[in-house]
Amino acid sequence: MNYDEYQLEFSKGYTLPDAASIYAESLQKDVGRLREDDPFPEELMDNAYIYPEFPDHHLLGYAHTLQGNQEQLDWRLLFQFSLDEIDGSGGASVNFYFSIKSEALRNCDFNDVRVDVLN
Amino acid sequence: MKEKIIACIDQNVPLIYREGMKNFIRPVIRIQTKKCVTGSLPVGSSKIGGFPDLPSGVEWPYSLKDKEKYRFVAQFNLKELVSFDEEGVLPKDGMLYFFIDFGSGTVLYSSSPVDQIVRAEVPVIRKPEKLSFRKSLNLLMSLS
Repeated sequence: MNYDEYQLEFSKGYTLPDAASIYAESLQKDVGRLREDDPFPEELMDNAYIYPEFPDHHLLGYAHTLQGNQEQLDWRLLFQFSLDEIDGSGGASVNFYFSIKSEALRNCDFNDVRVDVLN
Repeated sequence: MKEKIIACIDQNVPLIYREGMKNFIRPVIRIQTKKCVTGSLPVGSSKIGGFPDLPSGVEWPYSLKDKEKYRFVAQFNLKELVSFDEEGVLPKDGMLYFFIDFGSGTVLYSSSPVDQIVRAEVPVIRKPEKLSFRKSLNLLMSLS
């Protein structure tokens, strides 16, 4: 089975990880507690392209997930694909990451890619 | 747009966190989709769904784990992305293909010119087999 075909239009944007990740890095505090105590500024959410615009499709930037930012230090998001947006099935978000260490993009080597499927 | 985000951070975020938060701002290539008739896009177009345009001789990828063929997700003509890739991290030309399976996936890159790629067909995963039926009786395991 294959998906229906979709033509693509691209646009530039900027993105931030979700509030918990940012504050956790800044404050080195517990992520769960920060989510409750330090809500992300509403005005910033309106202007930046950030979670909770999930689900969506995008290249580069950050992965936006229901579980919060899953990025690890050695990996960067290459492509986030929302199955739900395509087939309305309520299906998974699929995140493809490339290895920063192996400089996968510079070397055009896409063997070192990590894939996360999030339901 | 980046200036607008920075301004919002300056207005909303406590001073001690501002610079740290600004360092997290990262360019992204946003993707808008428009449904079209499958097969109507020219070979080598960026797209989600439909059938991939692979270099001739490149086989449809399959999962090493369970030997099943991957499901095609998307392909990107990297020339179309050059002006949107602010960090310049993607290859400047060629094609990028994304495939998934249950819980896994793979990425293919091709530097072949667009005129050397062809629309791939969905691989036959299993040949149809005729079914036959027969009557039988069985018992619950506790009684057998």
